[in-house]
Amino acid sequence: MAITSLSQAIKVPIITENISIPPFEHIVASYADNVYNVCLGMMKNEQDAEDLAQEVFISAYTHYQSFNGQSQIITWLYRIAVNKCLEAMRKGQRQKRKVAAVSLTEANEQGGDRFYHPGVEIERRERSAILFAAMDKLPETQRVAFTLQQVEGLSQAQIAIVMEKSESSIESLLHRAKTNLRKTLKAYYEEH
Amino acid sequence: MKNIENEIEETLKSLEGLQRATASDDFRHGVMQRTSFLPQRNPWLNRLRLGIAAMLILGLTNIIALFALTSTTTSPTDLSSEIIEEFYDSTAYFFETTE
Repeated sequence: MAITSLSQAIKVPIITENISIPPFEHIVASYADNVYNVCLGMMKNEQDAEDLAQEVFISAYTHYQSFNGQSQIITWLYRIAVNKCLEAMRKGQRQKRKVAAVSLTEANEQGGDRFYHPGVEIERRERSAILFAAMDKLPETQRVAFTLQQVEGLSQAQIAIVMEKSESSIESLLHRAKTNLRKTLKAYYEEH
Repeated sequence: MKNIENEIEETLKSLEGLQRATASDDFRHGVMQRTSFLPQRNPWLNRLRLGIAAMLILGLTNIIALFALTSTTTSPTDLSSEIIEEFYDSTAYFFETTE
């Protein structure tokens, strides 16, 4: 059966839009974890993720009355979250440009950049940290699509709704992301 | 080589079955506390602002156009004499009939 709506597929509490817009507390209570998890997957830092997730809800709150219910609330929140994270990452990158670029190997050797997602199984922790470091090397759109798929567990159809792209372009983005990750990981494992 | 390929595949699969990270309880409380000090943006107020801005721009354009016209236009008598000179030249014979 084709997925018709995002909330249907990701098993989040369904809120009937178009009929009445629910109170904002309900939105925060229902979707805080979804937004925080996306921010954490993108930012790889719990404090940054929490700050950004708060920013997402603040932004959603100020524009809540103009939310027309044409899209699902969760889709709208994911979109704000992705944009906020990209904005923060760009700001961070600008600051990082002053510092010499470090390779994936160097970053792992330094240990400081290692990120362990709290939801990863213990036996996969080290590998997931290497994968998260490799994801940093991906172009923006590939990184967003891959994070939404791997960290938040969204399907290609759902990612397409969030990123406002066609399903086929998401499929190709994810394919290119995996190819690029394979290249980065190959270089890493050849050195180790 | 095969070993490296296996490592890569295993690493790519390392996020499978990942549990969603949960925000702290303070997070929800913090958001609600922060929003309590914020006004919600009223879409109608925005439209009203946009309308007023558009009217102001239109009004200003009109005033500028009016000033520009009054400073360059010639008096009606000058204009009529110019028209007469240009189009009704007395020396010209427009309705010449040929037989």
